[in-house]
Amino acid sequence: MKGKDTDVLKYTIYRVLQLIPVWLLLSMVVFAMVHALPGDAIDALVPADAASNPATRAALEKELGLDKPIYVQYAKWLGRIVLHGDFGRSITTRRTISVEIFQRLPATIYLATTAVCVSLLIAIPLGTIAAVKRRTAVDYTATASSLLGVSIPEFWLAILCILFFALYLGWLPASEYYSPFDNFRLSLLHMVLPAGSLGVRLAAITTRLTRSSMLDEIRKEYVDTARSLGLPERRVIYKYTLRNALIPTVTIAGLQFARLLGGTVVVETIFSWPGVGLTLYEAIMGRDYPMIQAAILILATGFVVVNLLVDLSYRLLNPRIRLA
Amino acid sequence: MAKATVPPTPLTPLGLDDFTEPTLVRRWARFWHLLRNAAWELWRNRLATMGAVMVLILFLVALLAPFIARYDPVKQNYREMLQGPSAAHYFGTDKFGRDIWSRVVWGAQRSVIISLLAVMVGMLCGVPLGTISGFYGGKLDAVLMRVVDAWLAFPGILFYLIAATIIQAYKLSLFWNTVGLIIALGVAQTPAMARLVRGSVLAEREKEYVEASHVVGEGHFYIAFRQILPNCLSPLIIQATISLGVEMLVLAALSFLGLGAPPPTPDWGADLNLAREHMETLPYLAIFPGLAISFAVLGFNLFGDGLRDILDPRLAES
Repeated sequence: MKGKDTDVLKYTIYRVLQLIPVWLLLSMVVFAMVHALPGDAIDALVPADAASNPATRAALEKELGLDKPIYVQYAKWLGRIVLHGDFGRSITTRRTISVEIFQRLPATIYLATTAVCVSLLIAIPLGTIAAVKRRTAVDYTATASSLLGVSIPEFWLAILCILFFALYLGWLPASEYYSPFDNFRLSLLHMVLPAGSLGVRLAAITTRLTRSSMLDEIRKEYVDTARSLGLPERRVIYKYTLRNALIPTVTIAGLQFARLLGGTVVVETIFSWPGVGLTLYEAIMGRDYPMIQAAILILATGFVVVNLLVDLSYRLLNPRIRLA
Repeated sequence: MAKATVPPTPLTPLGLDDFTEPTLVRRWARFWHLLRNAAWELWRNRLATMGAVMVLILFLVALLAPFIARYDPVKQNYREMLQGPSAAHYFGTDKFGRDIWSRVVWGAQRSVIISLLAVMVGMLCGVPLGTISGFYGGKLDAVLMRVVDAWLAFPGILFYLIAATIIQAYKLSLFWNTVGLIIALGVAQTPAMARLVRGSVLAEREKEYVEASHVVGEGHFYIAFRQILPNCLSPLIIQATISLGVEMLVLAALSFLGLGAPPPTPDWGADLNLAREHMETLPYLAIFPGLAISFAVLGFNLFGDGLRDILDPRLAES
């Protein structure tokens, strides 16, 4: 027992350490971005009026360390971020970037969480029924609609939803955001369309996965044993099989959440959802490069960390999987 | 649907062929055989046939764009702004009076060209990398795969956004802008391709025929690329087909965000974004470009799924 625990601990430490080079690589890509732009880095990093005055320009170059070799610049930049959480100031709003982004992070997390919940609510019943009633009309419908769902881009789905539910029927609002802590009812109402259009697409992927892992599980011997013991079919399916089949589904849900941290850019833009995705979009449109860097680095960090957590919990909850 | 009753001739036993020098004719005959069998299998799978037909339609539209587009897709005509679908303008016109049908058709050509070339770039980089990594194994493999891991740990959409932002900043001409997009889309596919090929090469290199070739003294390059790689093509073909759809989606999303081609270019994503201004009055503007994207992606997905059933029966159920 003790040996197994240390194995788990070792594996956890190993994976956490593995995160460091990945994150460093990530930060290098984000850092390199500004230097891959045309012109001097200083033009990308400070407002145009400050960069046009030769005296302030030189002073700013010195302050940002742009006169030093590139690896020193990188180290300084990274040091400021890691030690002080300092991403600099936005070019367009001139506010502190870290404050701005962390203010908007909850909206993105809220949207991503709800979208994943919506997708699970659709995918688990649909995938299970499709597997249990394999090769029937239900199965074919579920499979076909999930293929269709994967093929529809979420931004088009979002636009269609706005056209139908907001403009034609007038049932749901198409933009604005309310925090769930201020006004829960309004907040949910405004959440329906964004989370719905993200969730339906995710559900398409998850349905197929649930179906195939359910099919795998139904074929296993313990299912035959349970049946031969005379347990009712309902109980065999929903109590034993489904539980095991859901492990990959829940893992995928976790990974989808991680991906949504970056993937909400388009949907947030359409619904004017004040999350990090919209911030990123506005920064790209306004050529606010320090803001772009910060938004991408934070979203990507979230992605990597959530991935790690999903992976670790998957292995911890699943003793059958060898720790390799 | 009438079922054809004559199955194709079975593959000739290849045992004898293996000892004879493969001539061009024999190779061609074998390829033809495989192709015919695959086409037969495809025909039996209705969804896959549907996908193949959709992909074919898409390619035809892209190829014949100059002939079936009835107007210049970028020509503005202020006398015919914002019209609904009619006999003169099948899909109506946008706020500059441009014909939507023509724009959708030319957009198809652009999408097809970009995604085909992008997948090619991805394969050109990924396949050699994966083959070498899987064939030699050891330290090289370990290092390459760590790099691939790190790469795959980066969320794709953020990479695309970075790349597109940089491309955008250079204010390139349409041609070079497109080249940049193709490279960015292709490079992003590389690690997944490399990982896929490496996996199959790893399984394949333990087989007896590889050992035999080593004993006979064939060169490493020959064994890896001419003997092992052709046996690893099935998953690669499936992946490439599905990737075509994925690339189209990514391209549409980037153009939707205004990070694709510079404005007058006919592009599905960009047109969809333009349509948002007139959603209340002219919803059809938002219907057709989106329909085109979904049609294309669905075609590739159905076709790719069908190919998987045919080429890799082990995976058919999943």
